[in-house]
Amino acid sequence: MTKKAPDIQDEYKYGFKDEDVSIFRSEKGLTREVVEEISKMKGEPEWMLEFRLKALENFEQFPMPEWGGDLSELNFDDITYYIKPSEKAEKSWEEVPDQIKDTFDKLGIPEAEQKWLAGVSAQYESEVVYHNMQKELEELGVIFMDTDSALKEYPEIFKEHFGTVVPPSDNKFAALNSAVWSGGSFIYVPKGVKVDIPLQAYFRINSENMGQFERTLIIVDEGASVHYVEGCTAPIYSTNSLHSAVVEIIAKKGATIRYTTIQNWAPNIYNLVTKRAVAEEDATVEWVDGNIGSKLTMKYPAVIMKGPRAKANVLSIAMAGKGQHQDAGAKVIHLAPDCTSTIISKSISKHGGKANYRGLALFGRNSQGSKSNIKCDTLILDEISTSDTIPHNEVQNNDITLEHEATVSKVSEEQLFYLMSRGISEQDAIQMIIMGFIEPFTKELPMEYAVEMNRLIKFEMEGSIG
Amino acid sequence: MSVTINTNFDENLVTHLSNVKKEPEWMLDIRLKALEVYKQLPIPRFEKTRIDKWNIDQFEFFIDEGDEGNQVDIPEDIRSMIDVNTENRSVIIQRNSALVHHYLPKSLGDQGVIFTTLDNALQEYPDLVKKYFMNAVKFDENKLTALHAALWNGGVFLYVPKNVEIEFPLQSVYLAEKAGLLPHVLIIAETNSNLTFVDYRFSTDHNVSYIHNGVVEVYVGEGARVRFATVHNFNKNSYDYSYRRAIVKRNGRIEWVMGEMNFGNTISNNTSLLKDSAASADIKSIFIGTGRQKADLESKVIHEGDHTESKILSRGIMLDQATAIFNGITKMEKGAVKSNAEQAENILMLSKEARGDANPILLIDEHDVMAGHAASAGPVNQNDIYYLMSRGIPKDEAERLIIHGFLASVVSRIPIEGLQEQLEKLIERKLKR
Amino acid sequence: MSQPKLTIEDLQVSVEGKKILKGLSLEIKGGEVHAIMGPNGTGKSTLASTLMGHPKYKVESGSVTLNGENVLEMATDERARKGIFLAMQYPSEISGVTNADFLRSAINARRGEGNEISLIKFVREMEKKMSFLEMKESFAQRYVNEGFSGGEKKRNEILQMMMLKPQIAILDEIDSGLDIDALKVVAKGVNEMKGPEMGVLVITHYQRLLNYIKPDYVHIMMQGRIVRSGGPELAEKLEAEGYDWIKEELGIEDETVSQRS
Repeated sequence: MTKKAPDIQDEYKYGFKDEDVSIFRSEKGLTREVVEEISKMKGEPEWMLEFRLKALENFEQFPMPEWGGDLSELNFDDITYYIKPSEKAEKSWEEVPDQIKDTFDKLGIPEAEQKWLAGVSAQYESEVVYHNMQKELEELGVIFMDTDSALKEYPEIFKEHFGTVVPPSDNKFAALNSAVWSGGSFIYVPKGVKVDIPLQAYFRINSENMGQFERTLIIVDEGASVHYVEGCTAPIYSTNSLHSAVVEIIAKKGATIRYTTIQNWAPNIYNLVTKRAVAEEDATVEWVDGNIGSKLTMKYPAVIMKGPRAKANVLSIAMAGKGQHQDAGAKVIHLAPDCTSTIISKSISKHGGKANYRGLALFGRNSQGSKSNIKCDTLILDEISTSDTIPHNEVQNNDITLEHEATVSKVSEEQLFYLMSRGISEQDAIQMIIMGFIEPFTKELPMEYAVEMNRLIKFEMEGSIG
Repeated sequence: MSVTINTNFDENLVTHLSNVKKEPEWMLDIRLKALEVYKQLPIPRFEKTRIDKWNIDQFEFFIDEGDEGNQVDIPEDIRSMIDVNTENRSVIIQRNSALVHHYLPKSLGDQGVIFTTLDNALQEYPDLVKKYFMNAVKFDENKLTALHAALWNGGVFLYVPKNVEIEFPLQSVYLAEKAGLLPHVLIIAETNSNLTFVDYRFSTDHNVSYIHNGVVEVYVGEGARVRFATVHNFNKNSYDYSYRRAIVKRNGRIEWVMGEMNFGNTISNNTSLLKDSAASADIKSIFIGTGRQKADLESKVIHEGDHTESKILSRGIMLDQATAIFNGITKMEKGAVKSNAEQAENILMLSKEARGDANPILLIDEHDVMAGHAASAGPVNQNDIYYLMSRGIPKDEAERLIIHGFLASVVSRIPIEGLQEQLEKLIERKLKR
Repeated sequence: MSQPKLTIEDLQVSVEGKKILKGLSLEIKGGEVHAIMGPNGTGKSTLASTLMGHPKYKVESGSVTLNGENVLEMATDERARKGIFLAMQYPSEISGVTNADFLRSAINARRGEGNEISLIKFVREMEKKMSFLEMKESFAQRYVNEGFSGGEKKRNEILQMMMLKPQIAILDEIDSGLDIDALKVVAKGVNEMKGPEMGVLVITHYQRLLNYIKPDYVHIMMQGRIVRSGGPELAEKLEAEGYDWIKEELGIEDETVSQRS
């Protein structure tokens, strides 16, 4: 009764590629010269070049991680670390080069912006090519621009926070990003300002063997709030590309930030991302993290709760199909009294994919009164797929509460029978059960994203269940 | 005469040991091979516990040259655990690896039950021993198992033939008085047999630093049931490295009941391999962390057969500056269809300075299975205390009751009353009450 | 629509190698209410699940047709689309899927592509039926059966029946675990639907339900067969005298299917 699984490459709808329009691309491979070249082209201050070069040393010193996914086919010498597609980030959609505009039009950007976004930023290869934000937000002092421009325009606030949450010495891929970063979003929300509609960024890799290393830095000042949404796609080539981003978030006293990602990279992208937030007193950080695409994703959004009563919510789903390995999870670090955190993780594996949950809940010496609730559920859809659940719970305080639960199951025969007994076909019934399974995630997405997400899942599931 | 030799483990010592014991050639071969591996391998790395600074091989080594075996007195410390007035007991007591007491009722011997020292079994049933020795635990797994295989000294051999059900528990006691303790326990339960085994290991002198490096291998035949209950009680200067493993055949069942009551550092590794259809495993362990002791406790079940079932329950109470890592690992291999696994790790944190990690890990390679885990950590639930107090129970007593309830899963399953009492005493001592 | 007809002939069914139904024949036509009664373990629920095509139940021989079409060849969802409905004894919980979405999908699956029910029409109808069954409005947005009480689940089954408008409705122990008020509501739903376009098969072991859903025919099941059929008076006799008299008449000692036959 098992039907042949369709080739995932045919399923991926963003797999089109466009002609190379770049005005500069660095030599393949990573050397000191490449790093210097990037910094020079960007006209960066001296301290950033030093930061990059120091990070390059870190990168070279770190061994390749041996846990998580298989990185043996990742060849750092075969990657182009920097491609500049156009002269500058345009504020008007009309001014974006036609080729690139076409690409984003196909992806529905900035059509979406006109409808419901407060601001949008689009990154093509290494640089942001389009950027716009509502005037009202600008007047309130909200800064939303590409990270390179922020370095030039807001050097103090930039230098104060950059690299403080994820230092280059953190891990091999954070070091790599620190050495060659380009683009990404910079957001500053001033004290007390509440941004009601989401800010959005869209990342697109178009070239073969291209590495995209965007760097996002978000500072939400006291009592402010913001929701940032990002999406990512790439065309399919026969060889692999690398996406290795760093996201740093600083949520100051009483601030609230939600960071939503729908990662739908092509199935030949290594997606190795370090995402981390610091939550100060009474701040709330929420990661909503959807992993659908990529060849291998290793990503564990973290919240370090530094101030009393800080909150962390992580909601993630991972779906691994043919040839895919999603190694995703979350880290919640409770370092102050009365912090609370929840992790809800939903993993689905099918067609031989591997969807893992890997997580950490740490309660430090001063975390008295803190609580964490963690729930991981996994659905395995066929006989060739697998899933591991690898949580670490570290407790160094006697006045905390930790609850952790996990289940692994297949779609139950009784549920299927029940739905089918109402006339729903087997395939629709399975799809319905899966939609229900990830509903805690989709209900937290902005409307348009939820629709897109459901569409993606349906697309992934179509004709694929035996 | 018995000798103790300082720690320089070389071929001469190993050969001497083997010769004194009049071991067959193949055993000496294993010992020498293992010695080579031990020398070559680095100190094993545990994910969360660093043992590079732990003592794994600096200890006095004891060779029983025969004259201690004559002693038949049951040492005072363990007298209470053995009811000498009944036929229904079966005991082996070893001190520093030398046999001091052995009793097996004739009725069991008549049914073909073999319960003797491993040394003796090696003389009388060499083929049986050869077939199973270091088979579930491989000597080249790591430096610790290699050291054990090279120097194992003492231990028991239990063979229960087909369809034999033993109603009362078989018992073995090991006491360390002055040297390293490296016993090897080999249990073979043939088809449809049923047995309960109780194993108590302890040290006497509170100042000596003991090394315990023990291996337990249990082979559960088709439809057989084995319950293995153990209590370890080594002092705070000691290091305990224990590898326990069971291989379970079709419809067989292994139950582990473990009271990890050491005061010193502990590595405890327990694995059950459910090899065939409908095999099952139930693992229950308790640990109380006191002082500055560090412990890494792993319970693992590997499901290979279809319709296999497992339950892991680990409970820890953390006091003082103790550190403990509780790893629960459920592995579902491809083909383990319709299998079912549950896991729970619960930690009671009773000290600000203690640390307890609970890592409930599920590794699933088969889709048609059910697996779940739950972990929790925190202080004694105040609502529970309040509830008991509302019924007139004083606070201290309420707390005591709750803690004892928390540990009851293991305590109540120790089948020998004397040992159960001993375990309760140890719990009280650890909780400083 | 013509009057529907479900015909069961000499049906033999086994579960995991064990024979449960041992030659059962029954015909249900539109407008008729049949009740199958019998003690526990006589194969009543097996009949219900088999008619709906549960994968656990293996048909060894015999036939089931709906309006002349072979039901046994159809997958579960096809049977449902053809008009068979089973109100289950233990309805499944489907997390994350709202009642409303679920029902709309079920209705649309039956209507087919291009002929979907309009959202407004659907909502109106659902609200009407829910208020008829005295269900709270919030029901529509709750997840299918998740966290429902026993009574809520049963009401939900009847709601689905009313929305899907089957030709043959099978109610498997719809009365189990219901208090008298809930039972009345459930019966009200069934009676509302009664008519020449729907035949009903009520499976129960208590006569109580039959005070509210009046059967035209009563069948007694033992040892995987119908051992006695009659009118409503048969149910009343069972209520008054229990099953023993019939076992005596038939010389049955163990009425369950576990005995050899």
